[in-house]
Amino acid sequence: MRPDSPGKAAIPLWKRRQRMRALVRRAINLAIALVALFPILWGLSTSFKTTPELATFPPTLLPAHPTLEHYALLFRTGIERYMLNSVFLSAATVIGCLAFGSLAAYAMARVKFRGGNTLLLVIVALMSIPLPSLLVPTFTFLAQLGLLDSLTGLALLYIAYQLPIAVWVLYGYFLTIPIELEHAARVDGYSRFATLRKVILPLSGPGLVAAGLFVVTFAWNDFVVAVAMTSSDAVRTLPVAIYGYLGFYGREWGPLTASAILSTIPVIVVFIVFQRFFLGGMTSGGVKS
Amino acid sequence: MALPETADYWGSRPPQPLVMPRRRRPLLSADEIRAYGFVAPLVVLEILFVVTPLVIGFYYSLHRVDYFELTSFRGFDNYWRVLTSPMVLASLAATAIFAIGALILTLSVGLSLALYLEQDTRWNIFARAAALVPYVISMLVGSLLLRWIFSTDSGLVAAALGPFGLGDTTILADPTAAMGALIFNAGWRDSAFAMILLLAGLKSIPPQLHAAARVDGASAWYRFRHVTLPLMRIPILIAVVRLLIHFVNVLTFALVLTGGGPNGATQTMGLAMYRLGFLDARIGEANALAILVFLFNIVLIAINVVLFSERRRAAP
Amino acid sequence: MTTSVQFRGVTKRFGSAEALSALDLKVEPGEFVSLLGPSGSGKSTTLGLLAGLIEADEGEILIGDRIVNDIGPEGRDIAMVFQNYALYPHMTVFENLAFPLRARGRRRPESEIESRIAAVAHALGLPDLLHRYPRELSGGQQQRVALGRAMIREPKVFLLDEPLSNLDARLRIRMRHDIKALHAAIGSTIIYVTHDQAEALSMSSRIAIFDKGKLQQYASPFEIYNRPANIFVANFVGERETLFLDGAIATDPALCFRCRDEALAIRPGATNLGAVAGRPLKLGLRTEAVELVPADAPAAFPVTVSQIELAGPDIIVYATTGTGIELCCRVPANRPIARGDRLHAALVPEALHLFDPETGAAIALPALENSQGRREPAAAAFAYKDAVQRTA
Repeated sequence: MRPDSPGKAAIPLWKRRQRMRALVRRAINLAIALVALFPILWGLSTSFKTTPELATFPPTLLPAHPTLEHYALLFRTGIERYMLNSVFLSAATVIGCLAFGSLAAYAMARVKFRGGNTLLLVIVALMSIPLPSLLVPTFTFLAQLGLLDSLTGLALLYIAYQLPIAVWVLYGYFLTIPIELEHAARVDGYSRFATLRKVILPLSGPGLVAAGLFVVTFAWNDFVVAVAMTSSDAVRTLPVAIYGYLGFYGREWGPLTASAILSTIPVIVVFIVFQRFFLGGMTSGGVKS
Repeated sequence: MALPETADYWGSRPPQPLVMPRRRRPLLSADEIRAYGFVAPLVVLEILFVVTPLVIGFYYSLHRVDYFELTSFRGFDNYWRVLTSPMVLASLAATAIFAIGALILTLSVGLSLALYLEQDTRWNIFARAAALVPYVISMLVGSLLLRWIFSTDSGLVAAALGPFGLGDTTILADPTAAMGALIFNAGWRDSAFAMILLLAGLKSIPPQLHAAARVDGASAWYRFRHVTLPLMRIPILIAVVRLLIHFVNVLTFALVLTGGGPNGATQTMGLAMYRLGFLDARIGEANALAILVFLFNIVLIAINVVLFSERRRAAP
Repeated sequence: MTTSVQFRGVTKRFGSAEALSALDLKVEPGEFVSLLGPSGSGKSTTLGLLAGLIEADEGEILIGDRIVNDIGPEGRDIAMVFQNYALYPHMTVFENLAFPLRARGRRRPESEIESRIAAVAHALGLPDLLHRYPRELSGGQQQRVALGRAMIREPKVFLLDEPLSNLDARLRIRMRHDIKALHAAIGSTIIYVTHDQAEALSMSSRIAIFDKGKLQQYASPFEIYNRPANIFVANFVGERETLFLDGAIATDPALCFRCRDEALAIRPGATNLGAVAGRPLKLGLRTEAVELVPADAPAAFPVTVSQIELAGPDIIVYATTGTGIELCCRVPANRPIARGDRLHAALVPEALHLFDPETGAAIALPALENSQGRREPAAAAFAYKDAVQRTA
């Protein structure tokens, strides 16, 4: 290579091709991300636009005069109560699912009992039962129990619906803990239950987080069950409230998108923080559509 | 010379079958009883909130129900009414179109994403995570945001199609376009779900197989056709079944995006059931439809369970 | 502080396979018993049954006078050291050692826990490691913590499941010594599972040898080594493979073993081999059963040296007979022997093991007329001099 040759020619052709390919791949990846995220980003942008700007055509990509008026309106009309209901439900569901789920998962992973294998298949079946098909019968049943329109009833339903997936994820995780640790604890004088509490659970952080994530996103996001089983304002969850706004605000997309963003932000934050647990749990087969 | 025919050799004692005390295991060991205690909350909750409603729903489906009062026994009359109701039949057709369209879209996008993003590079992990966001956020919120985009209010559609002279297209008011939007909604949300299911299958294919096929001179397409696809049979079938269960029953997409309109064109079965039960308060018929849908689901769920056990047998 | 352990007709099946069939075994208080055998022989099943980690299908298991079949591991007052140590990764060494003392029903006051941990840590050389986590320890240190966790409760029975198999060779020999010293110090009954016969021979008061789910022989290391009850035991125990030859003892013209048209001369000795002359049998030969002798010795047959291995102070000489049987013997390393040398050898009568070719069981020799030597075989003839070590 002559020293006076232009710098560009110094890079061999194959290398330039390789770089080109990498660049194209990155562009495609960005495009995938953009398609997936566009509706959310567009909603985010909308929620900060002033009401007059929303009516302009062609639409502006970014808000010209960012405003919090729509969020202020939502909080003036008490959206925080619905958020609190959702938080309470999410917490109750997570606690119930992890407590009952780890008990059941432990028995299935570590104790040989008649019906254990059948139970595993039943759990796989339960995980794929679509909730909409249960709504009307469940509504009928809850009406008889007197649990309609109550957070308790909703929490019980959520726990029942999410317990199979929690058991599934925890079962998979417990199987990866060396059995000798458990034998050691048993020989050291700990009962099955104490072993679970003192040895297995402290070592199951990632499994508990993965199971908890599935459960908490379900409880926070669920709309169909909540809208079917509750009606009064006091027990309204955030998604039901948002659906209510759709009827109330109609075409006022400022508050509508703002409420959508309020529901989405916690989920996305949790998703980013715990991404690897999400994927770990999902690839183990425990995914619910 | 006579020889002692024994193994009693210089005084060491080989094992002899002594009198063997019979001690059989009890019917249930203490450990088994404890295990049943551990799974009891799970079993009780599932029986109470999944099985019992179905039983009660079935009971109600055999009666005329006025405001939760069982007024008279109807036998299978409710079923007959449901199956001959024009609304239900129309929803069946809409469900078929939606489910098949959404399945094809979701599966092809999901498989493409899985194949394209299989390697764990930083950019791929980023793209996978981004693709998953529509799946992890609330279905209701996702449909709401898409409704905003497709609605005439946002002006986005008009701005995008304006240059092609289609500036006054109203997607959600046109039966075909609305169904298209509904299918897009499903694809946008659930492709990542398909991707994850298929990615797990792809990752379980030993890389040496691809390496060997390359060494043997197989082209990329040939390797996909003859190495990847055959080994992905079960993961793909699982994805198909699970997506189908989801699409046949889902009601949020239609409820929020199109409201079932225009003119019932996008009213899927899930939505019809919801209408019947919660808006029209025809509890008997709604339960009959629920039981019918559930019977259909049972078939799909059974296939799912069989596929699951097959995959476990293949790779425990 | 110590107790007996007994198995009475204990059977365990996994599916249709019998992992352990009708085991009868009694361990006296304070004994050190090794369960020895290849993998899948039933030795680990036996330990699991004793620990309560596996449930017996038939038979009774006793610790002391108590039938423990229905008692879980937490109620059996045993301690166990696991092959991979099973240290709790989320606890420090101190917490690991304290764990058995904090179990419900045997909870001790914290001050006592601390003083006991201090004592055990001192005994095992762990005081500086108490606040480390298991992952920060070397293999040998982890091993000591596992031992300490087992010792701390002063259990009546100690179970050790291949505790040394993850250590390197030298550390393993050192730990053998330490465990034996530990046994002498605390006097608990120890049941030790291993597939390494050197460990079993060096530490145990008695060895139970298992194969295919059946107990093959239960005796002191000395007897196991010198009086194997059957072919399996003879072959399994010993530094190298035992050579088995089919043939018969002959006394004409002189005492010899006839096989393959060859007569391997047997040196005169204090045994009654002549009593089984003519009977078809399998002869088991270890290195100590073959001697190199001068060409003019009364009993000798010619061999050719085919290979030589150095084994510490000795050399192992592989010598081939006229018909191609490759024998093997041990001689001091200072003897000038080279490959290809033509030498003479003789069989050592006290070290011959005779087995029935059909059943594989050892064949007993009737007593000599002067009844001398059979009960007391010339132990000095064996390189292995460790005495019977029953501590009971």
